[in-house]
Parts: sequence; structure tokens; C-alpha cells
Amino acid sequence: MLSITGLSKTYDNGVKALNNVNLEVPKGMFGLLGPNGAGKSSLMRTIATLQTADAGQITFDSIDVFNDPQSLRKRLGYLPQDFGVYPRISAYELLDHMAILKGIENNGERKEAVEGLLAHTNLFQHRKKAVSGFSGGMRQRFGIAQALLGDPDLIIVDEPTAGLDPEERNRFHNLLVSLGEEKAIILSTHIVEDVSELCPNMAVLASGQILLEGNPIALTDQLNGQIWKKSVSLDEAQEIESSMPLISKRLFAGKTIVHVMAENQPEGFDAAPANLEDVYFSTLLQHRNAA
Amino acid sequence: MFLKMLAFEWRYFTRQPSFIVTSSIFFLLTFFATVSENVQIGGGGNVVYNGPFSIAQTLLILGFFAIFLVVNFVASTATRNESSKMAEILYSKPINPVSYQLGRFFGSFAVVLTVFAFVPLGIFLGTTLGAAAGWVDVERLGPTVLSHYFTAFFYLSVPTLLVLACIFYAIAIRFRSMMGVYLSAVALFIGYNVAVQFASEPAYRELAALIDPFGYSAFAEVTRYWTMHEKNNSAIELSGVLLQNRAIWLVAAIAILALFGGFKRGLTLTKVKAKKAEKSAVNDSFTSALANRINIKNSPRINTLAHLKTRTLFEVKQVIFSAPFLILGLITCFMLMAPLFDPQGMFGTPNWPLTQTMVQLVAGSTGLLMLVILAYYSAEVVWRERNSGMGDIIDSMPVNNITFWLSKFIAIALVFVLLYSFGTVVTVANQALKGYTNFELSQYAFRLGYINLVPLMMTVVMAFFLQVISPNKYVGMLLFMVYIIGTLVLSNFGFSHPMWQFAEAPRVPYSDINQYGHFLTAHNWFMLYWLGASLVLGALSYALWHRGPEQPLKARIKLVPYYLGTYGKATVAAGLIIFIASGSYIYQNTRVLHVYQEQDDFELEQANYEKTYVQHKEDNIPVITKVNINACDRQY
Repeated sequence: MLSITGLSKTYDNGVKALNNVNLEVPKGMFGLLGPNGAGKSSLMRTIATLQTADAGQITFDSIDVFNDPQSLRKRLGYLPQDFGVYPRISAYELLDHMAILKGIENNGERKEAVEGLLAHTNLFQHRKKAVSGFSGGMRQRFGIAQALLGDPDLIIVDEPTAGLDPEERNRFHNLLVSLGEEKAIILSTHIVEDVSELCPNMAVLASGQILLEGNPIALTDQLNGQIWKKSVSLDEAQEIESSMPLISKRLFAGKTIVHVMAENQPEGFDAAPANLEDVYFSTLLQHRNAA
Repeated sequence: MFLKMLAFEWRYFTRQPSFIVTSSIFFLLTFFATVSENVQIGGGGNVVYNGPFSIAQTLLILGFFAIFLVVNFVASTATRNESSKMAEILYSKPINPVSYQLGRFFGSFAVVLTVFAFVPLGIFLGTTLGAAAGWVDVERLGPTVLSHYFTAFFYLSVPTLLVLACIFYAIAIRFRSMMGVYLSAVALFIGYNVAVQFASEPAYRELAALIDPFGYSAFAEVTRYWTMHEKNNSAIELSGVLLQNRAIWLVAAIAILALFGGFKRGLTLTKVKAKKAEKSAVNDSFTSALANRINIKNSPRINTLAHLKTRTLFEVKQVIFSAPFLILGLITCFMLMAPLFDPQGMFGTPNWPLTQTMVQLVAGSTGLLMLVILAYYSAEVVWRERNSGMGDIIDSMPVNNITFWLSKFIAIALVFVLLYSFGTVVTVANQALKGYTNFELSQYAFRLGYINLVPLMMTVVMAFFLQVISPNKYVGMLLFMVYIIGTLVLSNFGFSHPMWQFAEAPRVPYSDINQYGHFLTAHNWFMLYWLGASLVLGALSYALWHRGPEQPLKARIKLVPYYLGTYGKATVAAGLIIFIASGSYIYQNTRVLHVYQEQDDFELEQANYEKTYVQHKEDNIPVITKVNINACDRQY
């Protein structure tokens, strides 16, 4: 549905944000995983018609995004990673304002949609308060509400769950899933769980390049039988890091659990079922080693 | 700690765009005041530009404008921890509050001094470069004496700036908001002006010389009876009333800072206002709203008219219900009040409050203010989306660029209309109070609304254009300042014909007997000519509108035809046709059918005329000795 070909962007300060990105985003949820500074937001902004690239092309449903941005804007819902709001305007008024800009012209329909979205993001009871006075999580939910106005065909949400408590995060996930399968929804995040819970398709972006693309289950299955874990002390962990392809190191009940990737079982390690986090970390590890 | 904080403030401000903008403004203003005859700060007569009197006077006058420097640097230092939300992190550190605050204070004060030092630098370079390049009449230059610059700067400017810095630091610490500081600055400005009115009476002069925080009255007292020779040669001495004035204010400044600078209180957070208890009634139909359809499709076409209505209403609300507008309204009214209460007519005989003089008063006394508003609001309004942080969301909405451009333009137009209306209300009330009832409201409307407002609105178009082609609002403001100074200076270099100067037209004098006369025709033609240019600029501005945070001009130029659309292209074409057609007509009439003289040529001709005929000065001239009038025949 959305296809990106040969997208490259270098900023004036020399930072190469995107480096020949090629991506096919089908209908449904698409997870874009990447560490901080990978170029996710640059890619999201470029798709959302807010910046152009040095080279490459983006088309959505036969709309050429760079040459006809207004056509895409009619069908787009966008939640930026970081945003502020106009001062002194209540949540209801501001969402209504944006619904008008989005093109919901009928007054009754607009009221229905605005109130509905406020209810779905659990802001209905705060609708008369100024958005500028909202806490971080509430403001984020407001951002989600405005991105869904006008039933967009392409939804781009950049780190949508940042600042949400677990309950609100679940609510948001359920809302996204309920939107139907006819849209392309791009979820950019650094949280692996968000992707593994929601997305039938995903890609890993790092240093402006797409490192991996596919279905999370299939990608995880490929790694099955190659992930080994061991509970070690801090010193041992360091030793393993220098001698083996260590893909993750996390704490459990005060002990360090390391995951390594290997064809055959290393001595002293137990077999571990592969998960998406292993896929993500092993991809980043290979990329770093190659660099 | 003290020195480190001082150095931190210095580094912080010298990297801010406001440092560059203010420095360039102060430098360019004085530089051009020196090299160009069209920008004047004090001086006058045959006083040499680089004599001690001129330098001191320029520094004193610009000292008033330093209020804004101090507010911008010192007061923002005092409130920055709160406004940048760093306070909680900083105040939990083991800081010695006195040296921390003093270091910050003197750091920002050093920045103020540096920026203000561009004033004497401007005079110095203006006179030396101007003499070398031949821009300045060498007869108006004395020998370059560096000590004149230093004495004026250290005796007059430094103490004044310190006083202002202490006062506004204390105010900022007290209110902890920039708005409180701005309001106080306006109050000081107004209060000082009122006081000056009273103090001009000879009986109060001595008192005024002592208590004037800017030192202007003291300087005026010292130099009141100076001869031309003294003005050009005598160094300013720190003695007598000037010394007393400076000493009084130095003590006052230190006292203000020590008592109200917040040193005793130490570093504390502002008290958070308790939030009002939420109304429980809001909870009503919560669950029913959950059942609402949220997948209502938007319309496939862009309804620009509906957008325009919403956006205009929104922009107007944002502009009108904000503190700066309140302040500007107050200033406008004040600027009109002062001359009304104390009308200084010709030779001390005040005129009747005729509408024709009232209109002149409104237009004249708000002239500079309107330019300031224009520079300020066009920057604020064009960059509102970016500054509020909503830019990414709003820019990705299906809204045509013209909607943004036009709604913001209308909002600014409304500001000007309202300010002129305030002015009209004040002057009409004055007329009524003085028992003059022939208000001629239509004259107010026509002269303010057409002759003054239309060129102003065209300048808004220009300001928008400059903002749109700039990568941020500071560059835009700087471009606009350069543009304004450029229009003032250009006429000195052979571009004095109004066809060269955007939104300019020959002046339209008004008299009750002749009304507008033929001047209106010229004005109309020039307005048509500039309307053509404004249409082109306006269309280009909206086609180049910023959509997204990282869109360089080059990328936006590529999409100009796309965003212009058919109507936009037609507008550009129509604008060009109007511009060229009316331009040719004006050219034909002012340059071909008639002779147009540049200002300098005209003055040269006057001088030559005098030189040629001065020999006949003492000649006999015919004198009428007898007149016969035959009244019956109505003939001589």
C-alpha cells in the first residue's frame, strides 16, 4: 500500500539520517523498530509530508507523496514523537478545530467523532480543560485522538506509547487493533513488546538503513535453536561479552542473565526459546560488528 | 562559583540569536544615523557627528531603548530557571545562592554592556568609514578622539544600564514571569515620559537633573548653555549635578538589588497554584460517547472557506486575548493622551482639535509603534505553529497554504484596525471634551483606514514574505530590520523616487478647504502599483509556506507551482500585469511628462540658485508705492 524506494536524506550538519531506504508497507499494522537516533523520526516525518528527501520516492495508493502532498494529507493521520499545543484552548475545542481542518464538515458528525475519540482515549472527563495544562501521558493520548480523526487510511504514530502507564498503553493497543485491517498503520518505536504484541509485519532501522524486514513470528522462528542463556555474575558477563556473540544482558532477581547466539550449544548454557527481542538485538549486533 | 556562573551566562547569551539581532540593530541604527541623513538620533545643527556632545546625546537617547535590552537579557536570566523548567534540577544541587545569583546577574549585565557597546562602535565606524567613502560631509566631522567615546559610555551609559538591570532583575525575581516584566517596562516608559513633561518647567529642572535614572536631564542641565564650540570640543566631565545624579543612582541600584534581588530568600520554587476542584458534572455521558462512531470519513475535497473561517477566528483570538496586545493598546492610548493633555501648538498657542489635526496626531504618534508591532507580530504569527510545538500536526493536515497565510494576515490587519480605532476613540473623546462636535468620522475612516492602513498592510505582506523565506523567526526579523533601514537609507543613494520604495507613495496632505486635492490621484496610482507587487509577494509567500520543520527554501521552491495552483498562478499574473501597467503609467507621468529630481539634486539646485543670485542681494528691488482700486468696476 505504501512503498518507499531509494530514500536518502543527509542533513545540513552532515548527519546521514536515511541511507537508501527501501520498504513495502502492506495493509495492517507495521512495526518499525530501531534504537534512538536510528532515523525513525526522519522517516516518519518524510512519509508524513513534512520533509523531502535528497533522493528516492514514496508512493501511497498511487499518490506521489513528494509531488502531491495535499492528496496524502487528506488520508493521513500523524502523531509526531514530540509535540506541543496551542495555549489556552480546551481539549474539546482543539480537537474540534483539528477535525474541521481535517475536513469533517458536518457539525453533528464532527461532534460525534470528537466526543467518541475523547472517550476512547479516556479524556472525555477532561475535555473542558486546557490541553497545555495536561500531564505528559494525557497530552500523548490527545495526540493519539487527533491522529485518528477523519478515519485516515494511513496512520503514522511515532513512539505513541511513550509516557503512557500500562493501563493506558493497553487501551491504546486495543484501540489501534479495533480500527480495522483496511488501513496501513506504521508504528515507530524502540519498545520491542509493542511490535511483538501488535504487528504482523515489521522492519528494523538503524543508522538510516533497513537491516531486517519480515513477519515477527517467522523472524523469531529462524532464530529458534540458536539462542542460549546463562545466569552469570557481572565479571563473567564481561568475559562472555569479549569471547562470544552476546546479544542481550538483562537482570532477573539480581542475577545477570545473558543471551548468546550460536549454532551449537556452548558449554554451561541452556537452550532458550527465541523471542523478538533476540531478533532485534542480534540484528543490531551483526550491524555493529559489520560497521 | 561567581565567575563560573558569569562565564556561563556570557556563553549562553552570546550563542543566542537575540544577541546577534539586538547587536546588529543597535549597530546599524547608529551607523546609518551617522552615514545617512535620513536616520537621525539627536544632534542637529552644525554639531559635528563625532564630537563629545553628539556621541553623548546618541548614547543617552538609545539608553531609553536599552530598557528592552535589559528586559531581554537580565530579566530573562532571572526567570529562565522557571521558564525552561530547569529549576527543580538546579535547586536540588548544593549551590551557594548569593554567588550563584550574582554571577548570573553580572553575566547577563556584561552581555547588555557588550550589546550596547555597538552604539559607540556604530558612531565610530560610521564617521571613520563614512569619511573615507565620502558618505559623510567632512565639514560635519571633527578629529577622532577615542576618549569622547569612552567617557560617554562609562559616565552615562554604564550607570544607566546598571540601574535598569538592577530594577528589572528585582522585578523579574518578584513576579517570576516575563509578562510582569514587560508590563513594568511599559509602566516605566510611560511614567518616565509623564515625569519629563512636568520636569521641563524651569522650576523643576534641577530636581529632575538629580533624579533622572537615565541621566538625560542631568546632561541637558550641564550642557544647556553650551556654545557650538563647546559642544564639539569639551569633554564630558563627571562633576557637579551629573556626578550627583550618577552617584545617587549607583547607590539606589545596589540597594534595589540587595533588598529586592531575592538573595535573602535563596533559591526556591514558585508556589504551584492549587488546581481548581474538577466539576463532577463533566462526567455525564462518558460511556455513551464510547459508542460514538469514530471512523467518520473526512470530506475528499479541501473546503478552504470553512478552514479560513475557523483559522481566522482562531488567529484573531490568539492575538487579541494575549498580554502583548493589551500592552500595545495601552501604549497607543498613552501616546495619544500625552499630546492631547499638553497640546503644544505653534508658538505656544494650541490649535482647535480639528479632525484633520487629530488624524495627523493618531497617524504620527503611532507611526514608529506600528512598525514595531509589524515586526513583532509578523514574526509571532507566522511562526505560531512552530513555536507552540503543534507545527508537525497542523502542517500534515489537509489544509491549503493560503488558509494559513490569509488567516494570519487578517489577524494582523485586525490588530492595526483596532489600534487605530482606539486612537480614534481617544481623540474623538478629546474633541467632545473640548466642546468640538464636528467629528467628521468619515475623514478618520478614510485617512486612517485607506491612506495609512493600506501601505501598512502591504508592509505586512512584505514582512510575511521575509519570514517565510527565512529558516527561523530571528533571521526573518533581522531581514525585516534590514529592509526597514534599507528603505530609510536608499533614498540617499539615488532611489528616492517612491517607485523604488515598497508601499511608498507621495504624501497626501489634507486641508479643510481643498480636501485631498490632486494628491489623492497620485496616491491611488501608487497604491495600485504596490497592490500588484503585493499580490505577487503574497502568492509567493503562501506557495513557499513552511510545511514541516526541516524544509529548506530550495525544497519549497520546487513545490511553488504545486501550491500556487491555478488561482495562485492567475494571481501572480494579474499582480504582474497591474504592477507593470500602473508602473508604466506612473513612470510616464512622473519621469517622462514631468521632471523628477532626486533629493540631493534638488538641494544642489537650491544651493546653486543662492550662489548665482547672491550678488544681487543688495540690489534695489521694485516697491509698490501706490495702489488704486476702482471698487465699482471690480477692476484695478
